[in-house]
Amino acid sequence: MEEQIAALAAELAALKETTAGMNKTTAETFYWLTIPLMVLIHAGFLSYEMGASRAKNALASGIKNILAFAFIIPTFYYAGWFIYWAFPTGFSMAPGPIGTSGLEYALAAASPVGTAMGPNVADSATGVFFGAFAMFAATTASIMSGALIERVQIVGFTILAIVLGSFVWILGAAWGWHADGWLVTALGYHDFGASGVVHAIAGFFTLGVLINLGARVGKFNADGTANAIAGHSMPAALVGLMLIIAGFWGFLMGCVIFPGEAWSWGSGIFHNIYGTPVTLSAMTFNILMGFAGGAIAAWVMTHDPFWMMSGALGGIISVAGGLDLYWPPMAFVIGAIGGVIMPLVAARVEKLKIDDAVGAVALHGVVGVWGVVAVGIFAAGYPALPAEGAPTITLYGQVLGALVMAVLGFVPGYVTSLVLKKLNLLRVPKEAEVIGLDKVKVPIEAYPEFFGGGLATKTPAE
Amino acid sequence: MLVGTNITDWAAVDGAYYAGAGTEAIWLFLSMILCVAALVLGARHEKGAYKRVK
Repeated sequence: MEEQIAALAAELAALKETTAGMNKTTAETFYWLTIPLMVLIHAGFLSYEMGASRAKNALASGIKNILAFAFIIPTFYYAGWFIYWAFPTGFSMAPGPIGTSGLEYALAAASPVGTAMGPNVADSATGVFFGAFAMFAATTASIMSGALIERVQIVGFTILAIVLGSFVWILGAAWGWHADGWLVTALGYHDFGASGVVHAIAGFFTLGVLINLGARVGKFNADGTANAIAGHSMPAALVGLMLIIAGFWGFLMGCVIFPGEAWSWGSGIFHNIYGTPVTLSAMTFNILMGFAGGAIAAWVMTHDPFWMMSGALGGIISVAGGLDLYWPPMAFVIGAIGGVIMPLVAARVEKLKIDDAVGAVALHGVVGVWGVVAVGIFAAGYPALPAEGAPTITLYGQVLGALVMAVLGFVPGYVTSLVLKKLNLLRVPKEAEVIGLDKVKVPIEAYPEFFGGGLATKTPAE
Repeated sequence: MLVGTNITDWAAVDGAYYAGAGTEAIWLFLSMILCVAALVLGARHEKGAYKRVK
């Protein structure tokens, strides 16, 4: 009898070890998979930006996209990952209520000379978490990229991308996308899929840059009216936008915490970054409904396939803040409202003589704010954290949080681009812009057989 | 060690095992310098290209 018990105990121990190993490697694989899906977002932005550019600037736009990705990886390793863990409570680097933040915690978890940030048999999580966050950072910088096409300098742009991707958005994430974040602990701020933390910040950072960058030559006439500057390949732009939507699933996948590990919020069910429960099922309902509502509304508003695809993206951004909480038909309506807002705001931005080549300020900045505020309108009352006595989601908290995100994005964007402008690193010379950036600084041609270096049709203002 | 490793037995490995252990800061610094150098050289290339246009 005793031998049987001993044998059973040994088998049980072996089984527990196997199960633990399987949970660990499954969790690791889960986050690994988010990464190629988020690279798809980049592939999408690459196609989209090149398609939205005139042919004479296509490759220069592509280079910007690739370089932003390339520089964000090392700079996020040096600084961004550390910032996320050190600054949730503000600028003091003090630890927060549950202790997964502050200077000491950040040094242990994210020091670029520490043993967690490299191959380590005892750590199957840091690398894939870092990778997922670094991809978040790269996609955040890509949001800015499209708006600046056809006249921004490559090095100046890269510096802006590093500031936005490795310093600014990640500070917003520390504040509002972390269980110890002060926006969450003080205001019950809830932003499941980073409507504010990624989209509003990136959109308003872009606005700050656009003000200093100025409009493309030929965009605005002397009387203030605007000319449409058509991209050379709308098909490439449309396919790009659809790829971004496919990749978005990887982004949202990376927004949940896998259960059953030491770093998990619990077992048996996913949790969001704040520790409250969520299922991929719930997310699926609402992502799809938000996508549909946004695309359909944008079609009704514009009948333009570019805006329809942007509306689809805007629909997802509109519901991202509360993906874990909405009733799906409600998500459809919220997404549709986003699809209506987007072209109206884009027209307003253009009326203010701001040349946003792809509508990033409208789509990401303003619709991102809508995504945050919507949580306060449609999902107020839920406890924002799992602990007893946690603050609840309120409209006031969401509005304030959205304001913080907009300002956190705008100020660094405006200031950095102003400094670059003074250093003559922001905008290409007019002659280069008129000739075309590819001919000026790219050693190869986009369409050597068809283009022959000729200029695009001029707008009335040129 | 700057390159290579002191590890001789995989069974004894129970934590960090990367090449360059003990000299992380040197490699970090080197990679930072490369990034800065790339931006500087890139800026020079751009400036030269714009000058040629004018």
